[in-house]
Amino acid sequence: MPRVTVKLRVNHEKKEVEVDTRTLLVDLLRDEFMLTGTHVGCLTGNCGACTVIMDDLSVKSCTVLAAQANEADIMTIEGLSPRQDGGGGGAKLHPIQEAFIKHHGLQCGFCTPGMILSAYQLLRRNSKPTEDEIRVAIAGNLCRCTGYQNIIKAIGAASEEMRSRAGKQSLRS
Amino acid sequence: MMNKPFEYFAPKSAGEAVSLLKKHGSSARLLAGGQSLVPLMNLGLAAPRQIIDLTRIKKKKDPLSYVTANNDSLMIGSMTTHSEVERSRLIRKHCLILSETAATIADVQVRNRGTIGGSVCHADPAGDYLAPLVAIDAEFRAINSRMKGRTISADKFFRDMFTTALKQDELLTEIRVPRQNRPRRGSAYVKHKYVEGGFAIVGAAAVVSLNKDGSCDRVSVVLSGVRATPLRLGEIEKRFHGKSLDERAIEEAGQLAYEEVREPLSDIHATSDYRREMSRIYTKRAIRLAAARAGARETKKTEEG
Ligand SMILES: Cc1cc2nc3c(=O)[nH]c(=O)nc-3n(C[C@H](O)[C@H](O)[C@H](O)COP(=O)(O)OP(=O)(O)OC[C@H]3O[C@@H](n4cnc5c(N)ncnc54)[C@H](O)[C@@H]3O)c2cc1C
Ligand code: FES
Ligand code: FES
Repeated sequence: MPRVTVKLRVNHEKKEVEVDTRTLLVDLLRDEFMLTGTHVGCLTGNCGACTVIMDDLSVKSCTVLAAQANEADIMTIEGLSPRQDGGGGGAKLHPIQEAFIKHHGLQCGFCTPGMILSAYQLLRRNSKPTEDEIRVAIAGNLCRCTGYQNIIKAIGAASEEMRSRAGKQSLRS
Repeated sequence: MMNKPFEYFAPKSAGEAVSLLKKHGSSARLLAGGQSLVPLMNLGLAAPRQIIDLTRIKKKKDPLSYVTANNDSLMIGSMTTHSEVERSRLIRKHCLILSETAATIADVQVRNRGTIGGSVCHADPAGDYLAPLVAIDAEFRAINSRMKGRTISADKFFRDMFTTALKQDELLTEIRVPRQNRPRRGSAYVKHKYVEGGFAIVGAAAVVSLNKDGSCDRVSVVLSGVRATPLRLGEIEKRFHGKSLDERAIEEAGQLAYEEVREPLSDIHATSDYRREMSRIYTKRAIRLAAARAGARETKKTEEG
């Protein structure tokens, strides 16, 4: 079977592996690196459960070959909460994660990692989204439990919290 | 995992990519954004023996991802993503209809990876770019394995469902579109989808040019999603030359669309009859919006700013 070497950064850590060329980015993350927070719902690019951040852009990792992620910088849900040293995977949750808990933005949790990373992509570009903008931002993520309303509320609340923290920080410095 | 193993190549230049295409023949496939091809491979509906990944090219010296302009046209590299087309200031300024179209495709994640070149080469009958590119008389630049280039007009590019005029050893490098921001010219793409992020049931692209007296010089309407290839509504183009594009004329154009769209595609999302009725409605909406934009230019206050 043809194989390919992939060098990349995942949640700030350098990795190098050799895999079957058929390996998808989502397989690489789950099966090689045991980062099982990235979920698989459909393998056709429809559900968004496999969403990760690749070179600062949200992508559906079931539509990307592992080989295409060579030299890429990947962030998964495990890398979202900041660690003291600037790395990911810390014990403290990211404000988006906190807002999902507080506003009941999840039930079974299957869609949640993808939902949160889509919210993360939105809030990096647009710190004060309207409700419509939030809806458009999560159009690529299906949720079969919540009915979306609480997810939208959670993202709105996260954006407020993040703005207020950024404000406090700029006052301090 | 996919059933059929394949060899993976990551050429550094377009030239290297086409020689690989030539060498491996029809068992090889180019991979652009992968937003159509990888899902098809996951489903077992496509099983290339060699994958020639174009994503490595765009970062090097021989880019396929760019937007530039000259006096008459915009040049868009085939690997330009939907997100880049949506946001590009040059495209928004000179060819708003394309940015507007890109924004209707799928969802953020798909737009972050899918490319304009991949979309037109995939030639899905419901592909959103197809109708506007035909309506604005786009041209496609391709190179073959001898590095010979040729230009194909949008009218001749789409041959059948998922079939284009490209030969086996050809690679699409660039899409050229005439600048649209002319006085008294307006264009618009409106899409009827069954869900946010879904493919078009009907997508209507209209380009309206007005005379100085406000009457219609030319109106072109092209539909995506109703036939195997984009459908240019010829009757509408003939009928309104020199006439005023008032509500009655727009009503009449809708009726002409309905008559011309006989037996459109039928699938799980929409029956043939429904698509036909929606062709009427979306043709009217596209003309109305394009005409408003054409008129709005006169007063220098365009909604696109
Ligand atoms: C969930 C989902 C929803 C979608 N919704 C829409 C939608 O609403 N509207 C819409 O228009 N599209 C939609 N798409 C399709 C999407 O726009 C794809 O990006 C597009 O069809 C293919 O572009 P790509 O760059 O991903 O190409 P790929 O998937 O990489 O390639 C597609 C085909 O084109 C060929 N090809 C690619 N580049 C070239 C080139 N330069 N020269 C020659 N051949 C080439 C490939 O060999 C392949 O056969 C959707 C996709 C998904 C997964
Ligand atoms: S598993 Fe990737 S979009 Fe569903
Ligand atoms: S919480 Fe169950 S799918 Fe979204």
